[in-house]
Amino acid sequence: MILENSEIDAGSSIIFRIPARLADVRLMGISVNAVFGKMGFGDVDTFQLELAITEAANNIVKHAYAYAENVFITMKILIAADRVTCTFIDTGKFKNFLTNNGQGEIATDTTLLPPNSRGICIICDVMDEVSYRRSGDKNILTLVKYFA
Amino acid sequence: MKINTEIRQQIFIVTCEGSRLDASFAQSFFSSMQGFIQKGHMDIVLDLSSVEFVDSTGLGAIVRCLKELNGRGELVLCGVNEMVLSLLKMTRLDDIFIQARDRDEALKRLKEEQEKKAAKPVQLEKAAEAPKPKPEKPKVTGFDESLLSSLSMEDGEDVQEVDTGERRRHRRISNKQILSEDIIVYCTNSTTGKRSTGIILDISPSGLLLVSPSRLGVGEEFIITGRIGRNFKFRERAVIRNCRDGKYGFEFIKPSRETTSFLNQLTGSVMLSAKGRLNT
Repeated sequence: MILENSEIDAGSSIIFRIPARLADVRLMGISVNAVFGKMGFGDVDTFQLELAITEAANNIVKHAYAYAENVFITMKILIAADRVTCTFIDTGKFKNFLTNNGQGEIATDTTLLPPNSRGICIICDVMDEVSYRRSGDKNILTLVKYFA
Repeated sequence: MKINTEIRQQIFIVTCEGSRLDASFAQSFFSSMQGFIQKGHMDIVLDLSSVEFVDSTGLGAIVRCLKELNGRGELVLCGVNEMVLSLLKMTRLDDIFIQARDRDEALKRLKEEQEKKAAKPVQLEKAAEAPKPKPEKPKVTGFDESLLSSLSMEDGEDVQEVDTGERRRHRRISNKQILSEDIIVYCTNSTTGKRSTGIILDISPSGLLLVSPSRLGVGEEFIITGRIGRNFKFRERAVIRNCRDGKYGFEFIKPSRETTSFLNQLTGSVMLSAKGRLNT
């Protein structure tokens, strides 16, 4: 069920590790744009996926790390047969923007989320599933986009 | 990303030379735009034809430019590509900006707006005093208290003529005291059904002041819908009591108990009776 004109096989993955700085988020955005483009998404979808990734990473830089230095963001893209999953890991402050959505820490219906900022609103608009949780000293944000 | 400027047909054109208006460039972009506005360039065409990527911070910077203009001029976006347009639509900001296909259309739109403004007698008098170039406006640093006072929805009203026994006095609160994000509302004309968008500048239990790119008329009645924060949605009837430079003072018509209660709590307002007693 992978996208028809995809040049990337299901099961492929890539891991990015970038310094948590806005300039490096830009570099990651440019890179994921190429990945999503090669997966067969159209121009607007590719832009919106890049946008969601960029917004998520910007939020980590601004809010989780509060522009701290010498800290990193790890992001893994995993391509499955029916979906692409982007998992962000950071060690900053846990700020759960998914609270009060009535769905616990995993929002499977992003239309129910009451976002209060444009960045989160964009992430929830673009992605089909969004989850955010704390594991040990790590924050794990998972964004899922289905192909169909 | 570089910013180039030029003046064509007496209109200031800002061109973003680069493909990304994102978080790492947004502040620098806004500072430049703020500088242009403070130098008196109130009508601006922002050419985004080379920009392929804008994120929410970049978009926020453009919105801040619109707020910096504060109704004194127009900001026209041109060359917005399909992707960036999808962002404007996703964030429901596509109605906020005047958009043009290219520079020529943008210049035409701005000329039309300028002519409409020049047709107003008050502005003709001002034009006679200083025809061109545009007078340099005083530095505006944002929506501080003094500026908010000067923009208050009670501007132009003759307070002396109001029966103080019946007049409600509510404390207004600026949008920045409520949320860091803009509070966007939708205004539907009760008569024509035409829908406009606006950004709240301040609000009180009795009404609100908003800036809108649409032309609305004093005395017209609207249904205003919007959301403040995560949980509070409102839908109220309101009438325009005054307008100046694209800013409209709305007075609520029989606001719901929920809205009144929420705004009373938000602003810490009280209602004064004729004898000065507090009615909370």
